[in-house]
Amino acid sequence: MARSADEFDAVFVAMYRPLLRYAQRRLLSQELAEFVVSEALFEAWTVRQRNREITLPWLYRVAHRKIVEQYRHSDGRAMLLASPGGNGSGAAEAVAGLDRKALVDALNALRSKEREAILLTHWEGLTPDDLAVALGCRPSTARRILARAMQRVNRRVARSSPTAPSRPVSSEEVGDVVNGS
Amino acid sequence: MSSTEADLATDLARLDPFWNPGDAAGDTVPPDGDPLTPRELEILASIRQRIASSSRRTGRRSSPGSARRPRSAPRGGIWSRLALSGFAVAAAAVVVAVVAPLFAPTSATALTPPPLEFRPVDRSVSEAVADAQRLLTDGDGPAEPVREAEYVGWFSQIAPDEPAPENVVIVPQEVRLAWQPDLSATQRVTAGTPFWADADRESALPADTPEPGALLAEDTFAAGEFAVPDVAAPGDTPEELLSVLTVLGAPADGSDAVALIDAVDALMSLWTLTDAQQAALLSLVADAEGVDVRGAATDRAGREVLALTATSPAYGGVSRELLISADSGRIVGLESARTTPAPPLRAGDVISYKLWKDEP
Repeated sequence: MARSADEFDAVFVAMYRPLLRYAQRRLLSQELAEFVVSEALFEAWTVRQRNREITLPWLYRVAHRKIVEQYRHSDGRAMLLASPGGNGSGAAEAVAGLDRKALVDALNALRSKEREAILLTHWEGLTPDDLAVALGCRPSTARRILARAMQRVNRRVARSSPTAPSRPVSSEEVGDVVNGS
Repeated sequence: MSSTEADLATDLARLDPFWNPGDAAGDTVPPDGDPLTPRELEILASIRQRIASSSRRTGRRSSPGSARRPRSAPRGGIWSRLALSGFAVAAAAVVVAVVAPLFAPTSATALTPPPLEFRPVDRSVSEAVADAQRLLTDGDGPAEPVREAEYVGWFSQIAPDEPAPENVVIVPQEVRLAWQPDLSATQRVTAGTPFWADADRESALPADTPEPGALLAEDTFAAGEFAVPDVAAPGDTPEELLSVLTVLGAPADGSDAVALIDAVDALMSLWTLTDAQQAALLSLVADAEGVDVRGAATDRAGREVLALTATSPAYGGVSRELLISADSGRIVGLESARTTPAPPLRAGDVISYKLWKDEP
């Protein structure tokens, strides 16, 4: 099915900004984020356009692969996540009593798909069905991956901060998920 | 959802760099519904141009895994031998996406190439880098950085938590990229000599395995189509190179060695650098945190190298080995390996590999 320039424009208008946010949350550089998103949109349109509808969850999956390619040797576990603190920008209030590093370590210790499940759910706001598309699995699998990831984060945080309440941290505490700082 | 899980959910959401509209990260993306910015319109136009050019190139693009004969004979010299021969350690492994899915996943055997064998050397990082920099002062590298890159590369596409493929056939990929300041470019990817990941396996390779030299992909980009983070030639001081590497993902203070090395990889995958630039890169690596001397080795192209190894708290479970030519002092290779298990991958498994030429 041939697709017109107008159709691509519509896709761009609908998808570019959410995709850019997705990439910026995971990369350190806006230039790099723009580059990745451009690559993802180009590939999505020219390579896979023929037989499928272009949806945002599916574009997240394409963009994820582009981000991993950027890191070349990454097995997906070493994706950097943009941080308000790391970028020198303002950050949310810290949640008292919780070790930021503990949460950073907990998230970084997750497998790539588990970390993405958490971030896609809590940052991109995906439903379980959309999460399944973004992760490339069945909805039941996506739910299981997310549940397991949340449990692992909670356990790790609790283990590393035994005196802290078992509730998680704010963005200030997590802060530098990027670069492990 | 329990209150604890609800608290976790709340705080994870608040981690979002876009949580606070006042954040710098949030300021860079306009609200949905606002008109496209000039920058967004520029990006839209660029992508549309690429799409239009791509549709005009019908017939010139070769699908990955094509069994089409190469258009030209491979060039001679060590580079050709590297790409086409079953070189020592039988390792430069590319799990070509078109090949791996042809195999039904059963029980995993060897999934990755064997690691290099390192010999201890009595040199510190600074001493090893100084040795290389001395060689670079009298090197044969280009006088100016060139917008070209040639390398043999591989990286594992085996994902955690997924069934390990059996009977993995590994096909090295030789990449030749040349691009211009007007952002036109050509990139050619050809297959190297394939082999079983399991070195003990002696049966014939599957009939649809790409032949050595087979054209896997060929792309031509018209002016403006080839996207790069920075079109300007990098300088040759550590500070100037760090600025470029930062765009490619290195930390601004150059502290994280793994992130720095990954950015070096990205840079060298776009540019053939001068010896002075190579020396400056080595200075940056030497100053980064988490770098150590891994040892001397014979790399997968039969070249003598000295390896610097790096780990990082941000990149848990993996190490990078930067291979420096013992002949020229240039960076000629990069390997990544698991330091912890990530089933089906084991600790010590090589997960990626890249070789650059060490000759003009």
